[in-house]
Amino acid sequence: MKNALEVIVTSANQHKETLVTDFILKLNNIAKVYQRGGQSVRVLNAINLEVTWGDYLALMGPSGSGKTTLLNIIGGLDCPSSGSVSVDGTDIAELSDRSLAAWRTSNIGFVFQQYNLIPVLTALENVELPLLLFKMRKDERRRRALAALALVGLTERSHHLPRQLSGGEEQRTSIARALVTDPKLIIADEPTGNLDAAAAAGVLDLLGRLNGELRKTIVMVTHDPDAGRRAKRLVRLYKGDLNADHATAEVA
Amino acid sequence: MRFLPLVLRRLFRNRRRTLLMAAGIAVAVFVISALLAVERGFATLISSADDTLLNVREKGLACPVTSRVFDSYLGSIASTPGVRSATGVLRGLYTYQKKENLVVVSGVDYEAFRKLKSVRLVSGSEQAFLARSDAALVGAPMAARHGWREGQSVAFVEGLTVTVAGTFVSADKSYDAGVLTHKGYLSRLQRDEGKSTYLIVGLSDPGMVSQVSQAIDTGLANFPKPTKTQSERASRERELQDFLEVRRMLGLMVAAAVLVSIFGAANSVSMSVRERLREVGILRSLGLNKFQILCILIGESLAVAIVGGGIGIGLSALLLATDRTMGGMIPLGLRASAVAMVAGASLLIGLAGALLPALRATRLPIVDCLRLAD
Repeated sequence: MKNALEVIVTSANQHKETLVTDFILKLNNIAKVYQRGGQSVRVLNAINLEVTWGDYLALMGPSGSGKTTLLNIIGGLDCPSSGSVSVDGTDIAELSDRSLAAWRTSNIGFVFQQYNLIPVLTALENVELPLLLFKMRKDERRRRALAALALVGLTERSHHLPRQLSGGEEQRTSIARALVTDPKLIIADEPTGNLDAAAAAGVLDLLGRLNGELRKTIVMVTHDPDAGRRAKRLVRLYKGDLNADHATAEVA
Repeated sequence: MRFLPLVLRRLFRNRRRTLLMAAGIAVAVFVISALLAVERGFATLISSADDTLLNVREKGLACPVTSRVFDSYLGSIASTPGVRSATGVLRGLYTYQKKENLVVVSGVDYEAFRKLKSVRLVSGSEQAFLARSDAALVGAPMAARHGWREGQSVAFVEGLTVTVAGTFVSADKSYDAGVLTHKGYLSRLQRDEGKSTYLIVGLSDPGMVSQVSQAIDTGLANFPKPTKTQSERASRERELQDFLEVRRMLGLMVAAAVLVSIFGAANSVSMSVRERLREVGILRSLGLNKFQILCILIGESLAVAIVGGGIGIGLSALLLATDRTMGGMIPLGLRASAVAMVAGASLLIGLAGALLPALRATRLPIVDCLRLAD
């Protein structure tokens, strides 16, 4: 396990030494308005949020409260109608489409509720996929992908296609893929939403280790109170407003 | 290039769809290249005709192949100013074993014929040909097609039997793809004694084509069968006119087939892209930019087009290898430029099919790609 960590983590500790700011993520007055059927629908209202390096933040709230929209904006998958998003000092709203794509590759690891693996690729190939965007030798790419799979306990399943994996294994594969580029921020959108209790616990254990051992900053949307309790901080959204921000120990 | 394995893997793991799309393109490419090969065959037949020779046929016939002129005209023609020499050729269409094996047999007065048309023997000898009344010189492509050898007796369905005295190639490809035999022998069998299908006239001055043509026709105007004299090339074009009309019709049908193929490929790719909106969203969330995704989607389509185009061209090559003369009538041929054109057309089918749906997919916001696919 130690070797696998060493292969994957090239920058987690360096981040702390070269910090521009204590905050990896700063949201400043983020609002999002969609045009639907000729009407404006306001999904987020002036959200302000700061996340420090190594934090583990859970975003909770009822359906339609804007959690996923906020997560998409943080990950650069969607853009805010107003306000600014700064990740490690970079205002991502200022980036061009092409620069934003390159930025996502290096800085963000996504974990989706639906796993979102490429069905025709094996677990190993799926994990290797983001590394194609880096100038990296094939053997190095393979070494890192295998290390990431080892980290999530799927070495034996590396040559299986997604349809040959259980839900929990698919989600662990997607976590390995999120991790393999050693991103600054891992964004997880209801990572346990499609899993049974045992598989969900395994995935939450894994996310906890990524945060605890690799010091990965994690922002997670969840409906699951148990998942929320495992985070260091809990933020609640209600109808597009940030309702409360607590350390989870406080909540408990 | 670094996404090539992803492109190939997707194609390989969706084998059925890949094969069906490639088969559609292969059929279109095969039809185009077959048409181009026929086109080339017609062009060869026409261009190998001699512009400096005249061809005298019966006037006013809808089908020039049925022309019959009297050999007695040769005397009048020989005395026309500007004429160097002349000879008659009697032609007949014969069937060898199967109805699709058509062979044009030309009966010639060999000595006179050789003064006007080039005949280079590949095997056998002129002596052997001249020694037997039923002897035949066979065009090398025709001999190769049927495996005819020297000394072999070849019997045609219509009752004509010839003995192969040798094989030849001629600059005039209309003879190259057929059989030469003695005119007397053929005319007796066809009950066409004293007649020819056409007369070949050599000029002492190649620049006098129109004057001599006019003089020949005027001189023969009062004979039982008036004649139409023109350059051999013009006569050949007239002879092939009906085929050329068919070729034009075929061209239109092929254009329609290619369009249907393009729409079919476009529809397949469009459906494939639509089904993969989530994948487009995933790839973009991983950091691939729009151009890279466009390359992947179009690359897949182009890879299918390359496979389909390769199969289509391969099938055409196979057809040419097994039948270079289209039943003995037309010397089929595919030039490198035609192959390049067909290969380009198959790539165009792939590109045209993929471009619009791929552009549409990459223009969708990432969140819509992920959401719409749910």
